[in-house]
Amino acid sequence: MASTAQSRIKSISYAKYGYMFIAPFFIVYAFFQIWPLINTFILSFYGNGNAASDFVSVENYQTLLFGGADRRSGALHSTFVQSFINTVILWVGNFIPQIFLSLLLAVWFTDSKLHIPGQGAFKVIMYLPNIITAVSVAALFMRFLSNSETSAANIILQNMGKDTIRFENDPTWSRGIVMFIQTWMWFGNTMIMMMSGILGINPSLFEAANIDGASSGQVLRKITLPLLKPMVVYTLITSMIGGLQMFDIPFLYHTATGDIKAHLRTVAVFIYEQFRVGNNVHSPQYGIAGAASIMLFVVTAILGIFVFRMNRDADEARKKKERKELVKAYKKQQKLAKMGGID
Amino acid sequence: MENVGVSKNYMLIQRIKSIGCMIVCILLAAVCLVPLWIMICNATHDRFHLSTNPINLIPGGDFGVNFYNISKGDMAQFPDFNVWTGYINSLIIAGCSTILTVFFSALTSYGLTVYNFKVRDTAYTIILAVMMIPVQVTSTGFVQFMVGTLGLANSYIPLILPAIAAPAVVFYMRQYMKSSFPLDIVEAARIDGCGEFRTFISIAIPMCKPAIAVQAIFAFVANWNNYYTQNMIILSNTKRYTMPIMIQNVLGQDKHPDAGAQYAAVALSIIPIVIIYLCLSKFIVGGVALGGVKE
Amino acid sequence: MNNLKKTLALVAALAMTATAFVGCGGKDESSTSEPATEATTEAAADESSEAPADESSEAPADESSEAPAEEASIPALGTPDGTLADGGDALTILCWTEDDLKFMYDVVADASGMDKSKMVYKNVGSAGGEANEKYAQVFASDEDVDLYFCDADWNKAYQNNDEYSAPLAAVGISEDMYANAYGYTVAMGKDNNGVLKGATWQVAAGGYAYRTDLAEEYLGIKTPEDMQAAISDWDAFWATAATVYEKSGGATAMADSVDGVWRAYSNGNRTSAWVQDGTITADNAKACLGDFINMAKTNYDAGYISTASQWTDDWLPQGMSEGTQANKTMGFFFPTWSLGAGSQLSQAEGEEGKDGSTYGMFNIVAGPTSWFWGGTWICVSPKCDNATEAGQFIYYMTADTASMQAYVDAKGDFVNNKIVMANTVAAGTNSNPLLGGQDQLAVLADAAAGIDMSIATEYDATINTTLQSAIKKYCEGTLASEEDCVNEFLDKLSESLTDVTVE
Repeated sequence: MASTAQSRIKSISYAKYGYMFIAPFFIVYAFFQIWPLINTFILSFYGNGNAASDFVSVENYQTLLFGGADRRSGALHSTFVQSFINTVILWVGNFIPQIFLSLLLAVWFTDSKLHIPGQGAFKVIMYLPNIITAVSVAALFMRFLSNSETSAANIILQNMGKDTIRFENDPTWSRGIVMFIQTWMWFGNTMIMMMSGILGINPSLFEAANIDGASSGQVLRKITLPLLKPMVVYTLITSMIGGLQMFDIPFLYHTATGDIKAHLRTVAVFIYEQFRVGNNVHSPQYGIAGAASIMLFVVTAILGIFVFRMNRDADEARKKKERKELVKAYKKQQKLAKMGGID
Repeated sequence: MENVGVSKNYMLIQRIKSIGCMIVCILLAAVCLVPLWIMICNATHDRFHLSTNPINLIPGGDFGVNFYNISKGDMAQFPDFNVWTGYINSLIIAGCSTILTVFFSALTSYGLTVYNFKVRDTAYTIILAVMMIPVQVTSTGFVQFMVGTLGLANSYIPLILPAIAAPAVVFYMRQYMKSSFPLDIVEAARIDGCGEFRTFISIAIPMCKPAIAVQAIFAFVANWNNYYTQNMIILSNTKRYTMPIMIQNVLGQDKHPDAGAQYAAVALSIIPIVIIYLCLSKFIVGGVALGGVKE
Repeated sequence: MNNLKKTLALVAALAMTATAFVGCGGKDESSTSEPATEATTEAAADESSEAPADESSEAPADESSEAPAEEASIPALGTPDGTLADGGDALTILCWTEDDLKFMYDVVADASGMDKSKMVYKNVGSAGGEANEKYAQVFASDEDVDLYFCDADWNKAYQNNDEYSAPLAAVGISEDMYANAYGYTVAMGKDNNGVLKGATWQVAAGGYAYRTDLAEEYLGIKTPEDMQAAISDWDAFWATAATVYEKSGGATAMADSVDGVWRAYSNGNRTSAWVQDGTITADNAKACLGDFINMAKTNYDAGYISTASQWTDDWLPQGMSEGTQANKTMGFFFPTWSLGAGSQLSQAEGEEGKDGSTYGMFNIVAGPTSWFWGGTWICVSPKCDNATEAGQFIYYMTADTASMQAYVDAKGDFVNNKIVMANTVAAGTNSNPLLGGQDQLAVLADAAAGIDMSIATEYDATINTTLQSAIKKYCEGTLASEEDCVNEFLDKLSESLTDVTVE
């Protein structure tokens, strides 16, 4: 017992390497990202446009959360709230099919009993959509399904003698299309991640299960899924963060210039619009944009911590506890030794 | 006899299962490929054909015309379009960023996994937290600092160096190391007198190959396609334009848009990355199979 | 036909000579006056082409009697006042399309003796409002920019910001060089303090370009004069639209897009500035809109306005006779800059000889209202390090009669010089193959003379896009009523305009 504890504690002397190893990350991060971040936080308490140097305390937060009597506050409030609802809808709508598909495929492709012919090719093909720039993907799908009468779907409808559909204007259609594009782009990526997770599981576990005659369902439930948990947590967290910051496709899915659709405006699009688009270039609304991003950050952080806590490896928690107790015991021993009370 | 019957039955069920799975896979693969195939076919038809036939499943013979129209002639979509410049610039940025990202992420996560030090958990929490910051907002401050304060417009430094700090990759690598990197091996290396950094290079990195390969692909793709940041840094020096910037310039042409040329440009932008991906994907499959030491 | 053209040209030339006086008068007087006064003069000038009293006093003393039209002599280019650096590597021009620049290099090089290789451009390669965003980035970057092009919709935003624009005086350009220019271009080139900060080479008068074959088929109209008579005002326009719609079996609309109708209406019929005293009141918004929303909705629903949006793939192919968008519109609301080779009209016609091409089958008329669309001003960056060359470029592109004539001959653009335009129209040398040989410069001369931008504000870019988007939502049925449409418009506007109160 004591010797394990001793060796554990000995590792503390290697701590300086820990600092050395993580130092580049934090130095670079501080230099390239921390200042902009702090700046964002400060800006969220200042005014907008020409009034950017006026300290307005929490007014921006107030406007976004509760609106106000004047037209501007009311409009910003309702747009912001709508953008939050949109974000959640779009994220859920693409996350569920994505995780389902990728998990299913990852299990299939790693199942040693299930030899799917040509699975190497399938893996390669399914990841393909992810390597194309969002700009090109959006341009491509706009040719198929859009408000435009010359989009493929509308031409087909016209040839069938039916009325054309303005796919962008209809909330159900356009959200469905954005969800589809997001899933299309990302399921291969998630699948590869899941696969690398599954392949990281000790194969002797699968062998043992096979020898014991476990069915593939049992293997999935008893071995793959529990051991894949860190990977699922990772996917869940990155996808959630990516989802809450969803920007490219909702921002690009519109035919007419600058005509961002109200039912596709995500929080990230809202933030971007406040300081970048059109006339705002000359009087950017840093205050509103800053406040919206801080709120987005807070929501993401809360959700992230929640997911993380929920899925926290019970095992790890137990180990930590054990370790603490060992240290305690060791210290006690040392103390006792110092006091000369050895045995 | 009975036993053989059961196993035959079992084989049959497996057979049916795998064929069923294959059909699903074929459908999904078709969904992935058809839009891309259409795009490539469309890139080989001129704009007149495209205006009446927006979807083509058979290649035409006008790729040359479309390619010409991207940068030359009266209908030039973007006169500064140069496919080689674009490839090389994108390759430099994506390549360097990828190397920095995977190396330093592995280093950071190794530091966080192997060593036990005071601020470890805090540091990890900070990394998790910074992962959650919307890019859209920090980018304003980022650009103002890089371009305004440091005068790094058109420089690749602000595009490559920040790749060292990739919180999501660190998170992934740490998860991976936690689940499949045995700490005992580090102890063993120490006993053998191996230095800490050497242990990392010669033991940890080879063992984390699958994770590194996966993240390298993702990082490369993300950097190759990163229009958002590149567009804010590379402002005006057309010799430094990367592929996505060139594509956006071609697609942004609305005074005299030429659908054929636009398809051709998009097709050109994805073909090299498809090839690189195909090469790397073999490596990934191999890397995953090698897997590193278990236990 | 030929006779008609000649007569038309003559009439136009006469009208121009008359208005030339008007323009000159307004300009000289206003050189030191407040913009407000300027605006009134301009407004007065545009109201009647039968010259009011104040314009005859005009002709400068040194006017040469041999000049073909009543040409005011232009002072030679001055020297830079030293506030800007000189002797930089190359004259760098920031733009969002290089179409015009390609022709300008030759013109300027020939006139000034400047080395063509010393002129380079930076093309941000974006359309309209996006160019504005890109510009802001370039300015933030300390990149070398000497001159830059500014769209009418947003040039005020640059001119009113001393960080972005230097007075033209700094490169040796003075207001009296624009004695032959169209008055509004000078007014638009000034910031809120009356300092001249931008100059333009073009006058973006607008007209209605229509398909001659369809006009003959559906309306029995054979000449532009008859066509103009049939669409001389909005009522007549929509009445003709009804005939076209009926005769074509519902296939052909009269107007190419809601956006196009709005451009014509906004710059032809609107009489009130959007923003007054930093405020957009609901009443003023309604005054600006007039009956437009109703007009747009009624005619959109009736099928008289095409469902396409400007600058989308649906828009221009409507002008062709085959394809999915074939014959969907009778014509387009096009400004002068849409009528040259490679521009919107040539896109709408398709390539000569190909299937569905309507090459040369368009004619242009003034249309239901006298309107204009945009225009591009050249401004000087405060970081300019080639003051001499910058001055030369501006001078030879926007003031010098001989070089501007050379530009017209090369590009066929409508330039900002009444003398040049009068001479060109009178000479009848301009013949546009896209318009079957018609001279668009003659047709649009009246519209050009009548352009009044006194009600322009620096917020017009945002206002136009916001409004077009709201009206299209109403037309397409996403918004239920006219009131919703106005509310949506004002709500979105209030969100994006920080410095203007929207009530």
